[in-house]
Amino acid sequence: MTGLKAFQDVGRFIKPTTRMIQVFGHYAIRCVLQIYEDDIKKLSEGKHISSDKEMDNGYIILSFRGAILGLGLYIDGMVTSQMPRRDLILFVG
Amino acid sequence: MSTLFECYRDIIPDFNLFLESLSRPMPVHLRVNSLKVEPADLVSMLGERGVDLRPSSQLDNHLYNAASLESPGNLPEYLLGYIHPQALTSCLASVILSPSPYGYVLDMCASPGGKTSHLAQMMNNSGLIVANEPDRKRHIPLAHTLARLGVANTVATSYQAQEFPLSQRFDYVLADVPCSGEGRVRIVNNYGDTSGRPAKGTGRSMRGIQKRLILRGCDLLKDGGEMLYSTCTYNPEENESVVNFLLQNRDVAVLPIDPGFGYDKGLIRWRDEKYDRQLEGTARFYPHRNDSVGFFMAKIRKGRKV
Repeated sequence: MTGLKAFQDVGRFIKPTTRMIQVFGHYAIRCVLQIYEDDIKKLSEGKHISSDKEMDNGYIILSFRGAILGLGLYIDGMVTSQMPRRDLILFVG
Repeated sequence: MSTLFECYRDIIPDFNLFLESLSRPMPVHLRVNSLKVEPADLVSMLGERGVDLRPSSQLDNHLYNAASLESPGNLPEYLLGYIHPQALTSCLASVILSPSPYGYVLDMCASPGGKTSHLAQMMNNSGLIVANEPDRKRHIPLAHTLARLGVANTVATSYQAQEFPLSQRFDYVLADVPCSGEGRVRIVNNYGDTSGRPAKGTGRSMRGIQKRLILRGCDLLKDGGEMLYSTCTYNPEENESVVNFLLQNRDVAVLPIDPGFGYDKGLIRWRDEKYDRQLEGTARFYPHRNDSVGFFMAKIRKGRKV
């Protein structure tokens, strides 16, 4: 193990790691989606949320109350969470 | 439990208070991770949810007692790497070593990474830390801790620490060595083990490896470099005796430790052994003095003339 793992080459897109995003994500100026408690509840139940924000398909940063939570996957207006559900539940009590 | 520690009656001040302290639960103590959040913001964040944080040390403004908190690992702030639950005395090891930014640091026995990540925080993720952990299974919690806390200046190795290669020399070495763990007895009891026995081997059985570790740690220092030798045990055979052995075998000096509160000076005599007077500059931490894990720490500088 060396430093902080930043990316993984999986699937159709290069995937940033959650840990890297949590450290450097606040420098991102694109592909950041602000989400709210209702969104987190849906994501924690394995559901998707919709977004009309203009973004390319691929991994996006999920931000909640100013904190970088982790990654979502955006495909054609729909967002699914890449975070473990048990972690998401912590943010909505 | 009193039987277990009876042999220390003459060296632990206020011995009855010491015994009494072992039966009290350990208060939750947190380190705020400034690699990800400012302490004031974190205090405010948790304060809004009714968690009262009280500063625990004047030496480091990232350390807090959180008496009202039961399970810090279930907080979102834990997941985000804003906080790390770590005993006050454990935090003091990094504070006392106090590496400068851009330094070259070796943590000889690093897992689970609490002290390593604290060192990285103090160095603001600059320089380089080699986090050595001989047990490969223990690399999993080490990697998890470092990643969660956003540590980026560290590489992990898995050498037997007492045989760590001498090809490089370090500005700082942290030798937080395996020990009999007597200082953690209260923690063990929190999890239901009321046997009152330390988790690991006896002091005498640990002393051989501890001597080899402290010698190798010293040999890995640059001239003028500094090492912190620490254990979480009260046994002088694992503490002053080991440091005294180093003083007899290498050109080093003990640098006096003064954490400012809740400590006692190291011993210069134990049973039939006499130690160098420099050992008075080491520090013993007892639970009845600071309500934390029992620790011993010695700060050592390589070379007497710097």
